[in-house]
Amino acid sequence: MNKTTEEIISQLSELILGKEEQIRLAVVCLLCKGHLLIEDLPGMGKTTLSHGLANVLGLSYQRVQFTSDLLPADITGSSVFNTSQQSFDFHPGPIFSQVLLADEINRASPKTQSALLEAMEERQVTVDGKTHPLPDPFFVIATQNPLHQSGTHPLPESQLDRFFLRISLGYPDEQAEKSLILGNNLQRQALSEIPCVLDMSALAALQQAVLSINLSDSVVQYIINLVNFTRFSGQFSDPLSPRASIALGLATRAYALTLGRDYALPDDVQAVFGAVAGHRLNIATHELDDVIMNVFDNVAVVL
Amino acid sequence: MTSDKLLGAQTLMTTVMYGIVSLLLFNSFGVVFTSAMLLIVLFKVAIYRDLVKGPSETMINLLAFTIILVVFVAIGFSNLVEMFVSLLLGACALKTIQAKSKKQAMSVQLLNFFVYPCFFIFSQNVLSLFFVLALLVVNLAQMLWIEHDIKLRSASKQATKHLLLALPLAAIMVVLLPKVSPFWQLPGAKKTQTGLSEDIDPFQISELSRSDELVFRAILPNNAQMQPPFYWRTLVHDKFDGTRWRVSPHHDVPLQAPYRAVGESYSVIARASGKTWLYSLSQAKSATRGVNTNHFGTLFMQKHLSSSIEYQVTPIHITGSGLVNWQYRVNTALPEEINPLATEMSQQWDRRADNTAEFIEQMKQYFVQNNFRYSLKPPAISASDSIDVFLTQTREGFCGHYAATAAFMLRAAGIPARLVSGYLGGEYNEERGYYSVYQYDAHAWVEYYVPQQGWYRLDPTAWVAPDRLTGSLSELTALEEEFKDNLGLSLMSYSNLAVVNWLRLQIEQLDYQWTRWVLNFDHQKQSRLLRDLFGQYHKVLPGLSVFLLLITIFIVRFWYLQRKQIVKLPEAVRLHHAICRLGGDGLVKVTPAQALSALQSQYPTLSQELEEFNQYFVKSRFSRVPLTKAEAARMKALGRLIIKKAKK
Repeated sequence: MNKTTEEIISQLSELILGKEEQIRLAVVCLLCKGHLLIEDLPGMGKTTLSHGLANVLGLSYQRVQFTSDLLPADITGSSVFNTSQQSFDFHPGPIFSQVLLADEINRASPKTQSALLEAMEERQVTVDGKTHPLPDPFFVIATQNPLHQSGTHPLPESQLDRFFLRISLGYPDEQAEKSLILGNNLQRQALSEIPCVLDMSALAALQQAVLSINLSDSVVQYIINLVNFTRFSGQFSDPLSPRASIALGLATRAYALTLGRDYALPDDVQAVFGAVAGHRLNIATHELDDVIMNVFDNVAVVL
Repeated sequence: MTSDKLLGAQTLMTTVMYGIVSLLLFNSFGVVFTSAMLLIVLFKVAIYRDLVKGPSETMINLLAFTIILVVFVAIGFSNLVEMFVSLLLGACALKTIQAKSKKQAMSVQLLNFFVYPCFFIFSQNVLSLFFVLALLVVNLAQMLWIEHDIKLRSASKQATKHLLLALPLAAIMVVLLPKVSPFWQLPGAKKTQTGLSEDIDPFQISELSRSDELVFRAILPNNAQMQPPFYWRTLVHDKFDGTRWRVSPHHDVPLQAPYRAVGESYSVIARASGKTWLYSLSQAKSATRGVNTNHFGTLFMQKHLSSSIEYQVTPIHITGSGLVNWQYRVNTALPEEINPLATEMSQQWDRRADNTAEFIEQMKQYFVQNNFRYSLKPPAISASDSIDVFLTQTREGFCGHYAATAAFMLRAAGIPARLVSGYLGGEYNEERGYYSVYQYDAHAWVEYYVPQQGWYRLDPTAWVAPDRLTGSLSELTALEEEFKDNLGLSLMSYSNLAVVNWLRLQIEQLDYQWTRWVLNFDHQKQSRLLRDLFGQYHKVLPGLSVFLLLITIFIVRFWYLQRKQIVKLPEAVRLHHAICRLGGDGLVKVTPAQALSALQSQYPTLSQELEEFNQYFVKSRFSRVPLTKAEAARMKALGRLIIKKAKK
């Protein structure tokens, strides 16, 4: 198990240099059957990450570029009259794929955003009164521009909560950037060469294995203390919900799994806390590190 | 087991306990009540075995009524204490039969804390103490069994633990808590008639029943004055009605005549007897409060002796103006026309004698020459001229026979004489240096009056059984068989077995300590001790300190319980914290890995050890698989090593 997750991460690390932590979180999100929100400026490697992830896992991949005039049907698909059959045929939209990259989701109108988020939650699409199940696994990676950019419709809090994790790739470090400039890995080429590391049943087994990771009482207590701190310290206007607590526990376990442990540590909690809580607490990406460091300082680790 | 059956077993145990208690108190309760109790136990067993159905409510009421009737008839109002205790026992036993629910069973168990100690009313020696303690342990265990469904075995363990925890506290309270004299007192259970009696009529008795019950212990100074034989004067009988020697009605009149002390003081620890009289060598006076001297020079108490008492005795000599007229009359009074032969013989001797000593010498010769024999099983004499029959026909008897005969003959010759009963001898404990006197040491002798000189002791039994004087009756080999036959079943009967005798002496010694230090720890001794301990504040401080002690114990106990619940830090975590503090208090709050790296940079030389410790620690706290014993030990050793090295 450990080897597979390590393999996935090392393969992707070759693709996106110096971002191992973010890649690990993306894998965690996948193992937890959650959806991933990547918040970044354009050109940071969001697309590469999502495409690479789909390739490594051997999953079908679709990309939708969200624009302000994108309609819900453009994503879900629509019924088209078939003259030879004299009936309406359903033409599935790009959402019917195992990995969907919803690029720049906050550029689309709220109506379209809602259609996507509903599909994410229910894992099915209803068109003209007919329900079409989405493929399994179904993994949405949405990217959004930082909110201060013009022409964006921010996602409401209730819909942000549907995303399991929010990560930000950020700028590469100097060494990585040097390699990029020198063209040591020409991304698009590498992308197609990336080998498929595991099949669907292996992925399902990994997702199952997450639940067998031991979450000791002290780690659970630490999670509770962290969550309670956001609720009762008065520093947060949107405290964490029980759904966030569940997500925190699950992500902690998956994170431990990717590191090859069969038990979770407080370090795992700290590693995933920012990704789980950032968007739920409505903290801007560039402020996130300071805020969570403050939380960790205030909440002692339970041993 | 169904819950009904379980409750049955639980209550059955209590019923059996009641059965045992009534059997042990057989002497006080008598055969009727004891058998009634045993029937109840049998009934309960039969119900438990499903041989009979449990009784209906009416049936129980009927049984209760019967028990009350049995108690009233068989024990009666004259024995008030026995009556109430037996009523209590009976009622509790019936309740165990009736109990249908946990709550009812529990109420009986709670009541037992009162019922079992009632045993102390009847016996306060050290064996009773152990017996009652055992009963209380069983009772606690049963309560745990009933209330918490714990297995009886672990319940008894817990109960013993609880009792042991309570003992030191109880001891402190006994020593320090000021004793308050009781508001009212029970008259004390009546003793069985194995000891002295107020009337002496030896000729009716065919077999002297004796017991090895302890009467008192005495600590005598080791000097020439205090040498055997020890005649413990107790009762003076100066009224003879033809068959019986009755105790003097003036027995509880305090001494008025002048006296002088004639020897060193000694102390006596007397067992509860339910009587007023006490024991002393020769004529005596006591400095102990509540102990008086009457004009015979014997000691008595105003109240019945319902608990053990230790008192001081000073030998005295009453220097009165001799016998006044009425005293002379009383001490020579004889009924008309009885024992003509003895009267005749006595007057003959008197005519031949110049003084009392010569008279007594002739009497002695008569007894010695005519083959009188000492026996504990003499034939009973029912004739009215019993002394004549004894002198001429049976010629066999114990102390009472000889004393009564001698006193009669002295009076017949006009010499003032009286019968004294008490105890002779005592068993000496080499280790502790005290004498134990048992009921079987009971003895009777004579005192006669010589004008201008006073009362002299005369023990006619000694003429026929001189051995009797030197030691306790138990040590008298000639009478061994007879003596032991009379004792019935007791340890004493087997005293020729070395082991049994050793055991008997050990128990005896333990009992001495118990009586001396606990039972007799009275108000006086307490206030003396408290004054020594607390000086001028002895009235306030002891009570206050007990009160404060209790409060402290409660607070500490609850604080401890609470702490145990909230901050139950395992050993590994405490060790980890201790190591973290080496690098600053802040490290306690971060994750183990963060703490590790901080410490490693602070103590580079310990890097290896820290790393290894962290591995074990993390595994012990977060892994599903616990550490093996070896790993845990290694972790502990590493932790200590790190702390030791880091502090250098």
